[in-house]
Amino acid sequence: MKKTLLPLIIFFALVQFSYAEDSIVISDAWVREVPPGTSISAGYMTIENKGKHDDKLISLSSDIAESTELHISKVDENGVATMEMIEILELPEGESVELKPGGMHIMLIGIKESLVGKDNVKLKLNFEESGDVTVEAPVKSPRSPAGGHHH
Amino acid sequence: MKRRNVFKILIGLLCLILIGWGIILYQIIDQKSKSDYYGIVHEREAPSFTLTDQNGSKVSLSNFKGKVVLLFFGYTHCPDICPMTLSVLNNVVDELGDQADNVQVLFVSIDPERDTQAKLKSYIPYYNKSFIGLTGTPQEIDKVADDYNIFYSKEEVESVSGYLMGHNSSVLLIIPDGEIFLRYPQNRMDPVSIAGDIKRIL
Repeated sequence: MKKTLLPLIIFFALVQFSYAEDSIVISDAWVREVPPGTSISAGYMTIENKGKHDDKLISLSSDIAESTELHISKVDENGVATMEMIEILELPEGESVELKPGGMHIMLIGIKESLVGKDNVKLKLNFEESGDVTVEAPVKSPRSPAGGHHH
Repeated sequence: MKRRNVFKILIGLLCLILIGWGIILYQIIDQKSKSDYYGIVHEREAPSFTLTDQNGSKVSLSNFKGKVVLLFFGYTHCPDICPMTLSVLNNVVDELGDQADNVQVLFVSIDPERDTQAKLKSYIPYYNKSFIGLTGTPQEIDKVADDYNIFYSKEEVESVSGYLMGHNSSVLLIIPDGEIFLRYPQNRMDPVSIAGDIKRIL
């Protein structure tokens, strides 16, 4: 009895552990490379709440920036682009939120070292229920999609 | 004699009808060909201006007569929309290949307080060596933005980024004869389609 119970407990503990780890799934993370000397940039990703409960993104941080905030770009009918800060991002159970250029983005403010030539940037997201989730976001050059050909 | 007069009148009327049809047909074709552009047809004379580029030289719109000018108003402390747009414009230039020599991208800073000539020098060529960044005194920038109906203002955002700017983020396409011909709002930022419009114009 005891012999069968122990592996079972371990199994359920592991399942629970891995389940808790996977409740927030982050994919397609990247940070935009900006010209040297530029103190501001943005990061993008898809955040999915695969957990069994609602969650909230309550804070962000990154080693490379003095401050990290969540913002959303908005363009009105006259073409005027503005930004709004999002203090708390609600992540209802089963929902996913896409952070993309021209929309919601992680603003990296006060960049300490040039992103040029850097492979990855560590972004730490703090969720109310799931705790800290760290992602290694690759740095993408804005010139890369067309292959970096210049005139 | 009388019959001949009637005949003349009939011929005259026929000519008028044909001319009328011609005009209508021309308008239909013209309208159709304009709606074929990816950008929104604007058709307004491009106001002249003189500003300072990233190398400290005075630059006027008239310097680019004979070229297609892509004009964009932004600022270097802009985290999302401006780098994205400059990246799109770089892709447009790439897409044009040899024809890119007949195109000039101009970036006008609407944040002259922070966007000095030196700041633009380290920022603009990064996106493409052919791009020209322009700045000036706040009064000069005010005038150019006003002439082009470009709204901009400092935003009251509680952010540690200093301040952000709200600004009109459309790209204006000026054709070689000095007319603002097309406008690309942020929802029309496909580089291949923009390059397609330019190829048609050149």
